[in-house]
Amino acid sequence: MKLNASDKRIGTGKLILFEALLANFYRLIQAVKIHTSTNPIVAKSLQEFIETVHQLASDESRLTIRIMDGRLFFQEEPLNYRSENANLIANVIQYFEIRRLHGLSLSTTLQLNEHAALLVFATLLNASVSQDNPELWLEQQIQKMNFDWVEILHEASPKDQTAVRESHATNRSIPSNRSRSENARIESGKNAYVGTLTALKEIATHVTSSRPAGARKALRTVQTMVDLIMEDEIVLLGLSTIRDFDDYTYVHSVNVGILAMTLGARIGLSRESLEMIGITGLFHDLGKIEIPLDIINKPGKLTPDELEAIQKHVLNSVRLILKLKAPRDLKSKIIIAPFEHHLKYDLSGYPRTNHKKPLSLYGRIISIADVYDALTSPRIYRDKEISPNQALEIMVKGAGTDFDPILLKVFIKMIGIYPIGTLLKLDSGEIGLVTESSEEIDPLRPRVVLLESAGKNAFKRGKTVSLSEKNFKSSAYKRNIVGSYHPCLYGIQPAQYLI
Amino acid sequence: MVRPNVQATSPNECAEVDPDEIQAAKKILAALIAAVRNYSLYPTEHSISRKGIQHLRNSLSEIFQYEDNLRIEISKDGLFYKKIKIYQPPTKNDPLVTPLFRDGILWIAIFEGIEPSELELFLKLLADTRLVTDEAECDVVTALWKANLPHLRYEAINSFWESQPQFDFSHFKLGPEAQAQAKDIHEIEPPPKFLNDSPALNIKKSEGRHKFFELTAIENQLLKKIISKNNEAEDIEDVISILMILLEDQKTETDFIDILDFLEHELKLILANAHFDLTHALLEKIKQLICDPSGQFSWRNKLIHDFFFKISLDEILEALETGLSNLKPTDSNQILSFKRVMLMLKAQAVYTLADLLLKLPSRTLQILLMDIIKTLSLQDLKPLERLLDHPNPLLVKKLITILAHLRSKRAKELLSRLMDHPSDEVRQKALFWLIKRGELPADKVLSLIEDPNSNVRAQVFEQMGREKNPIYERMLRRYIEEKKFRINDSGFLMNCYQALGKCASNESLLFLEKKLFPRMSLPLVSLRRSLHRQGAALALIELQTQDAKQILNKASRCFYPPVRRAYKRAWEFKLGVK
Repeated sequence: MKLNASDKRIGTGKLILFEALLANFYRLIQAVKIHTSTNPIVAKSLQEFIETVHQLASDESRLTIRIMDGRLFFQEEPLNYRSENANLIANVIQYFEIRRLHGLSLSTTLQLNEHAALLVFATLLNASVSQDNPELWLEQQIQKMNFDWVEILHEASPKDQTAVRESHATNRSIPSNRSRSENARIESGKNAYVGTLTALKEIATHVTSSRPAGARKALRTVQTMVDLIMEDEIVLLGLSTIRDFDDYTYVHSVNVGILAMTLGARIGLSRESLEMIGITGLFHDLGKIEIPLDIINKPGKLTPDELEAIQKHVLNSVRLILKLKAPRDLKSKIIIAPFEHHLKYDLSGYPRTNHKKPLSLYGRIISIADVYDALTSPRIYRDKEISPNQALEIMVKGAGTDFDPILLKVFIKMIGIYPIGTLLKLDSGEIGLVTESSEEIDPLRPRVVLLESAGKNAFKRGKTVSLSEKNFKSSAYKRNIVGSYHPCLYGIQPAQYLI
Repeated sequence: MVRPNVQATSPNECAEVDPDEIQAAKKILAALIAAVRNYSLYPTEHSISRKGIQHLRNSLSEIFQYEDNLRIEISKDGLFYKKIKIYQPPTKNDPLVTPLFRDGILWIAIFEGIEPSELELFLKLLADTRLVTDEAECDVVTALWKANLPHLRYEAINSFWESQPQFDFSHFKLGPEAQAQAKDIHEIEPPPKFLNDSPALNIKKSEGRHKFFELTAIENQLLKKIISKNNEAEDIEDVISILMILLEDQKTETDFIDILDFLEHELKLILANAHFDLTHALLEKIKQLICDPSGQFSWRNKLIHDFFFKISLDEILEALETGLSNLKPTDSNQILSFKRVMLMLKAQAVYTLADLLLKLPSRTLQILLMDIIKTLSLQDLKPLERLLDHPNPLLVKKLITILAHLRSKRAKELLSRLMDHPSDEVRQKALFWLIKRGELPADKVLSLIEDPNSNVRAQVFEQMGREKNPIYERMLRRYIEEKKFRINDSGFLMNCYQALGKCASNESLLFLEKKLFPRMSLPLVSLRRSLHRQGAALALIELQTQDAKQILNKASRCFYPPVRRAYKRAWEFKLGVK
């Protein structure tokens, strides 16, 4: 096999189709990962994927995706994708890299009646992650199933690899072990996070000084976050582990926005709905800026008056949202969830109303995200920090009374039983931070980034390992969890090591 | 992110681009700028706006002969195509460069296959976001994101901060205590009991862990239902109920006003959606806030009063056009709710409601609206009064019916005033009601019998002749006596005499006798006199008294043929014989 490393330019129209194919491919495997095969989201993703394959069929008999040196090759040519698709490409690359797959080739003669076969293949692709040799295992499965329309690509020969490396040397200026697109995605996530935080703080400053506060900046940054989440949720989920004592309310609000948008994306909400829910999350606690800090940060028990002042933040949030300079329609849509976010699933909680209707979808989502982030944030009034997985335990006890049980299930599936950012002590004597839930393999064996000691209370990032890894000879797991902790107990800001 | 400078190409590179292609790109920009201007000046449906779109589409088709997209890079100094500057903004406030640069767009590309609807949306959002203040509601980038146009791509940077906020982990503090108490890594305590066999999460090692957080088929269905309900549901009821709770909670005038302002907008929506029950409940609750025995919130009263005034204006009530078109005239509950809502408004609502009278085809709804207008006019007649000057006689006629049902002096005055209305139909209608109410003003009668409209005149004559009336009798006698009738006014003169005969008493006998029989001082043969003679005979016929009959008998046998002829013609007129 010879890789054509020439700089032949792919026409923009075709490039769009290639990118669409990759987007639909990625959407399909994600949908299969999350939903059952009968779910309409899966059916839609499948339909769109096949349609794109057919669109390309007039020019190509086979479609080839190859990953080499952290770059994506389409039809054996480096794909000079457009910058807006950097995150998508990074996701696809990461997907293959995690599975140690070098690529695959697909026949464009794929027929609509092969829907079921494609679904099986997508499931196999996802499941290959837990195999010792995913490439070999996949090949065996494909042979067994008689899927002659797909071929698993092997590693390119060293000669071909060298040729490609030389021809693309100028494009590879980042020496880290991360691909360039992954770095771009992380940068984009960080910018969106800090931008959203800044926008929120600006709004709060304006509101407290009775100046008009526009929601434009917040809208813009939330839109960026929606795009990021739709392509890959992991960076923003990692960022949502950021905790800040001084600016608790603002950081909490951004985190709630992220968690809510991610949960929304998991249940298949549209991008417009995700924008709404993101904004809702961002502003749900806006009213807290009017509560004196000494009440918010009071270590002991609150007096009835102080409690009333705290509870008042719900209505205050709604009032302040109404004061924002934003389209009225937008404001109408985003006041319900902030009003409801302390009302429980069974309608107990506050503010007490004669409300008899079930909580809105956004309200239920924000409530889950809010409680999770609040429980996992170090608060002065709490005796003992709760680790993220302990927070989930507490929340599960409230399923059906405090929280929508179905959404809570999706939420836990999303962040993992050991949620991203949980500090784990391992029987190997190592400690690690959960980076990703390996729900495909074993929800109790996530991927972790190992933390290496760098002096007292200081750590450096070690390698990332999966707790599903087994010892080759004994078939025993290499590492087992012996304890889970709140990273703040050890002065650890998880996001610092996760992204 | 810092905006990179657009590097203009060198002359050599420039030579590689076909000059015709550059021309085509320039042409598109000219068309685009013109189209944006048009969209700022004219409604989207205006022929000029439509022409602009068409011109832009034609121009785009030219560039697609060279490339499948037109990618324009944006700099403060102009627009670039393939690194060649193709547009230099003539002013600092350029309709295209200024908003795109201001909002941080680096490049924008229009792809082949762009639909007219996409172009329209693009132009509209450019026109709408042309002027954006620092605290504006949206900008080009947020609007483009929302529009999500499939054939339009762009890249943008955050341009609203002078320096992009930098992400730095050191800015996030875990808190002084958390930092100080941070445990050493080797001090990690024995693990608490947790999830491996957590009863809370109910995960047993023996169970299929993969499946634990998979939704069951039923849960999937339920979730699907919740999402679709979320997409379809109208939140308006919840929004209103939250706003009411919030309103009640407000302790300052400013906040109270803010919420009332917002409610105005929401009210418009619920009216447009014909949620009259909800509207009624809302308005009732707001009114209840006036009752404040403590007097602590007495300032609310004026604000609520102002609120009701504002929601009675066309700006809000125009939504009723849509709302009422959704209202089934057979739905008595909704009709009742609608009426209740309207009756809570101020009389200013009459302006909009009257306008709707002409727009609604349903007779039932029209009657309902007229009834509401009547009730509101009892509060204050001025709006209805002003509407009587409306140029559309159809509306004025409907308003006359309403006015006619108002028993007030002012209503009578207005109806009388309408007798001078330029429209025949309006005058007739007003006259009809004045007569029906028994309020036809005597001083108007003489001018009315000269009304240019024959129907009006006939109505007046009929009214005058309905019964014996000494006022009309004297009025008509005097009129006939003093008025210089022309020969061709014969029909009119006959009507006057006929009405006189009907309303007169024997008091007019002498006057009529004089008119009927010749006087020696006057020439016997005169066409004008013969008309009067005939009219007098007719009046005597209508008078129907014994004395009148005697005079007629005398006339029928009179020596002078003109008198006999007058007698004969009077009967012919009376009997409708030509």
